Amino acid sequence: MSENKIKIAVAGVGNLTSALVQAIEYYKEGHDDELIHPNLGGFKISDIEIVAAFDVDDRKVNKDLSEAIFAVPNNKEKVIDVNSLGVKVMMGPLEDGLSEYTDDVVIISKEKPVDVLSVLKETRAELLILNTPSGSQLANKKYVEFALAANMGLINCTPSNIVRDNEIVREFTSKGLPLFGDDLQSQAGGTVFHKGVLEVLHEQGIKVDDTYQLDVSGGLEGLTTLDYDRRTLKRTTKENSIARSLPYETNIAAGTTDYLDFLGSRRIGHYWIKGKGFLGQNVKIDITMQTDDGSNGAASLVDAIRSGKLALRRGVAGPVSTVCCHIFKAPPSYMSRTDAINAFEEFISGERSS
Amino acid sequence: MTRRIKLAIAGLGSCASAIIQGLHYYKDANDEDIIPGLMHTRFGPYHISDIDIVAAFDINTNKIGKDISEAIFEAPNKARKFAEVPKLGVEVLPGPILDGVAPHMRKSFFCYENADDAVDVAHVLKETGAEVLVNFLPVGSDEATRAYAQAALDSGVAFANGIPSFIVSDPVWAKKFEDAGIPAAGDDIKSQLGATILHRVLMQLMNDRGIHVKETYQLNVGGNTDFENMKQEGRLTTKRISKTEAVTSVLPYDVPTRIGPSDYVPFLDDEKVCYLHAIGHNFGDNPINVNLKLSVQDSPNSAGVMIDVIRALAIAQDRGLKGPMFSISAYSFKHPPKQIPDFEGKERVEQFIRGEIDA
Repeated sequence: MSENKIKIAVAGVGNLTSALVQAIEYYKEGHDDELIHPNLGGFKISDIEIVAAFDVDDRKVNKDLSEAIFAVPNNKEKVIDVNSLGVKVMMGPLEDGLSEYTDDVVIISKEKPVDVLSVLKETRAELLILNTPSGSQLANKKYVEFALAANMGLINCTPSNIVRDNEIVREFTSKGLPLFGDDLQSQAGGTVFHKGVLEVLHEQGIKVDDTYQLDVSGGLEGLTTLDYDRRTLKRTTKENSIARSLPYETNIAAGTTDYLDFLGSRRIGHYWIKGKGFLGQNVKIDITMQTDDGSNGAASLVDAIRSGKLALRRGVAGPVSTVCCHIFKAPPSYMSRTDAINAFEEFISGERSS
Repeated sequence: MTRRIKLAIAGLGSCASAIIQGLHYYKDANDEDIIPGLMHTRFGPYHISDIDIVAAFDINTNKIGKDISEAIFEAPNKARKFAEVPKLGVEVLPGPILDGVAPHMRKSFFCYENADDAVDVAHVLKETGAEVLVNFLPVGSDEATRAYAQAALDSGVAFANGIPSFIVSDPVWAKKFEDAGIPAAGDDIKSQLGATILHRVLMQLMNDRGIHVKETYQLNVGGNTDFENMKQEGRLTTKRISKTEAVTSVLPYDVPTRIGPSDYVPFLDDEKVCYLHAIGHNFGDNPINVNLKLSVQDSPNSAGVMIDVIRALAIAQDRGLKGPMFSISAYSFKHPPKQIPDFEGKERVEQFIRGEIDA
């Protein structure tokens, strides 16, 4: 039984990690009808075991993970009670993990950072998940080095350039370790939905002139992206990802537009598309979409983690392109949305090794 | 036979363009007809065509020295052309820059280099015989707005403040106008049918009907220089106060609220899009959700209101009124010296026109 466990370590105990922890508990029994893959390559969601967690907030550090996920400023709704996990959140490296806007919201712990590498080795974690705030380039870089030194696979949920960085790819490849990223794409979130609509319009012969997607959210991620540089980073990966679903250039604006603390982990997206069809007639589309940010991300993350375990078993080295294309917004190579879905299924069944 | 109103404008951007085009678009409008796009074809004794523009100030080298009729269509102005404007014989003059141009906007605004080139605004106002000065500088131009307000004081010209740099709602400045015997209206022009008035009316309605508002937001995006200018959060402080207070002042309790210019989307040009969202509780604490999208050409939307403000100030001059004009300020501006509910505000303006109230 124990060999079927997937041991992971998470950097960043925010709403996404909260949703992940709750999902592991929630899907122990039942609810299979909510999942695309109740069983992914032989692994259930409850096979995921978090063996180490790192954060920098005083209200989380030294707490059991089951409590820390509900500590302020997290605001992902409690879906299920989680019993004590016996995993204490440890102080991680801070570096540039905060933006000037999140400074007021996050209380930095006075603890000294732990020796992350030793923890990773001792806990025998197989995969490291980067759930740090957008724009934490330096902190992420450190975590990447720790993962390499501990011979682990890495899943980068942030928009930091990692799986698209040749140097990092070379190192993971040479050590025979798998890489997943960059920038997690929510299961049914703004980006994938926007891409899907644009693809359908294109397939049906509508030429898209303008489109935007303006999101507001109350998660810390929304606050982080008020910082102009971090917003730009996040926007670029999002806009590029959407732009690729059309074979021509069009006016695109997409990204987090504002932070509304009272939304909690709700995200509301306002979509607008204007195009031209037959005889040059206008087509206009207005859509509002409301989702829960943490859950929506975790739905993708549980698939990435189980794919990670498959890749480790198969000894895949470097970026696992099918998984990257299907689950991330800024993969190192590109596949259309539908091709990526098919390729992902082939990866799971073993028809494709990576 | 009424007199003509001599108008001067500070900031010949898209809003000014819409006003000037409107003066010509509606010049033959018949008093008796319902004219689409106007609240008052005749405001008191004044028809729209009774307004003449006598001076315009800007800092844009594409506009300075050109006849106003051409300058209003120069970049970066985005207001749509909806009227042919004949040559007016009035050239755009270089106004003081001060803080009117944010560092990130110098290029977009084609700002002139030498600050000494600025004209003496008060002197020009006197020479041209201007009677009303409209301030349409970019949001965040606090110093420059005060400079124009001072020029109005020095030259005895009525002042209409279209932007959220507080003058008319600032007791110190209000008193200066009062002491100088000059009428003023402001601050921060409301649109004919814009996000603010819609949001206010919606909140008022929810409150009147016993709906308890739990949260509300108003996102605004656009592609004109107003939105480009406001990318810098620092220039936004008073704008957020003005827009937020306009809405929260309607409700007798505190509500989680977020309102603001939210994003600059260049390809929208002068189209402004607003998303309004409100969640409330009705009978038995059951939820009620309101989602609304407003899409409108931004500049004409403010011009349709300013055209009434200009005539209200002319009436005030005719009657020798001075200081803040409360009724027109409350009805036409987001941050007036006194907030009045909109339906009542409209009634007060009509009373003012009829001469039943004095401010």
